[in-house]
Amino acid sequence: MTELSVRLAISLAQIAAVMGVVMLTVMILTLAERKVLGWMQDRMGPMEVGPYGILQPIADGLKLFFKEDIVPAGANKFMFTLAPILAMVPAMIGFAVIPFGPSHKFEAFGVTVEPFVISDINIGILYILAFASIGAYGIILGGWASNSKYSLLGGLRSAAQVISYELNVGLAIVGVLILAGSLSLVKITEAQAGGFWHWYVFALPAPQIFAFVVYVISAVAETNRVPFDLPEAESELVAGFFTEYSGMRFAFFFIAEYANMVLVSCVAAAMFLGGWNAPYPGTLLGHLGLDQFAWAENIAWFTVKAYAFLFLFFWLRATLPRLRYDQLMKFGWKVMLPIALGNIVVTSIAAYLFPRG
Amino acid sequence: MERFKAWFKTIIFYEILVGMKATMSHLLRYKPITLQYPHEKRALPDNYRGMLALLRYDDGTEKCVGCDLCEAACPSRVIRVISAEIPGEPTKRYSKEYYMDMTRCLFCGMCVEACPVDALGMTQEFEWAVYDKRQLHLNKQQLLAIGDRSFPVREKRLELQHPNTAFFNVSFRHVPQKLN
Repeated sequence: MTELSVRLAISLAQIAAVMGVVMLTVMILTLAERKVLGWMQDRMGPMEVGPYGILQPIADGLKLFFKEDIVPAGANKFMFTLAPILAMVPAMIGFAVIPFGPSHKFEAFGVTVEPFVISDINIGILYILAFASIGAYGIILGGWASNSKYSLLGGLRSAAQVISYELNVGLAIVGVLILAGSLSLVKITEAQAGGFWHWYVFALPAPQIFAFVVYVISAVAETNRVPFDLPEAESELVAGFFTEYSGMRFAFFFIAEYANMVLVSCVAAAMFLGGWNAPYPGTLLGHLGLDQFAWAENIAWFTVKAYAFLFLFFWLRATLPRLRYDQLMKFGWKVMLPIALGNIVVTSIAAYLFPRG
Repeated sequence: MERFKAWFKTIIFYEILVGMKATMSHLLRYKPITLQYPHEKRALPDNYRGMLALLRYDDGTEKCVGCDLCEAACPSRVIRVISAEIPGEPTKRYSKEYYMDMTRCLFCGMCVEACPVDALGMTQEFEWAVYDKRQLHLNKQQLLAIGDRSFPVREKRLELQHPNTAFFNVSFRHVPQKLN
């Protein structure tokens, strides 16, 4: 057995594990969203399939799997097929650089294995941003290839919105990059160790609280969620860019949207909220002398942070009405962009005056 | 100062936070108003206007006298009555055939109000979804069956309720007397 094949096997196993966790999270999210929305609106949410409706995602998945796959007349069949794949692959591929747990390394079969991150590349966050932009192509092409007015309008809106808010996401995290001095998410997370006052939201000399707010708002806009769900505005555009999609192709768009939510939550947790670091120095299990199990606590903290962020998505959806289109653009370019730029200036000055030790 | 307050409220998203507090309070004090419909049902009010039915007296005879007043009162022409004499009793009539096209009924209850002998009743039934809408074209037997299952307690015949009630009823002598 050559070293290459061992590396390949380990990488594939890691990818399978991460994909499994992400798909499971997406399943949980589809149920959790309906439940949380229901509870916030004095309803019950799904209650029929299984006890308290907990098997609803499986029923939904089966339904979508067995549904007829309709290609509308006059649609560009190649693009119509390509679009859901183009939307889903970038959403999934970003998880390759997210550190889910502490960066232990161990030797197995003669190669070094990092169990909690698939690939620690030194341009991690740039890689995520690049693929998030490609995801917009899936939406635009899906809208265009459907040969439907509503789909096209949804796709156009999505293009404008994603370009506007992609910029703010990129600028919001520049402050963190200045403080951390690295683009690798593993290094950024490690730099935030030692208690919540070291997290970049709160960390001196330049707390990134404004950048965090900008990031949260832009992330909601980038994933086309309420209150920025103009590309799929039900009351105006039927379902926006996926009006004409059905069956598994619709499921691909759906999974892409939820995987994007999970991705931006993971990035927010890793960049601003300390990633897998606990909000106190070290880990409780580590203090008790169980250092070999400390990774479980770290992963639990990462999960808690990511899910808290996802809960914020549901909470916003239950609370806010949709923005008007001009309000969306005005907010993105005239409010978010100056705040992000100002944050970069302030952070740069602070980082220059108080250089890292 | 006022302007500063307003500006400060804007930058901390004060209105949005108030809204989020409201939704969160509903989540924490979770009291759903939903009823799981097929499993649990609402208690209907007594005057609920559900499916129409024809009624009987307690001796099993039909109340309907075939007067056509319900047909005249119906605003959407649901009811069709074909009236006939009771054989051997020239002064008494009954409805030989009685049809209701429930696809058109708007459940206003005017036929029930129009009926002089209270032969029509509105039941509490509302689950009448069918696959074939011909099934909603009901004949007299079906309407009587609905009445039988929805009104188990029946009235006595008019002339037996009180002696004076049937004073003007010319057909009284033909009816066999029943005690109680």
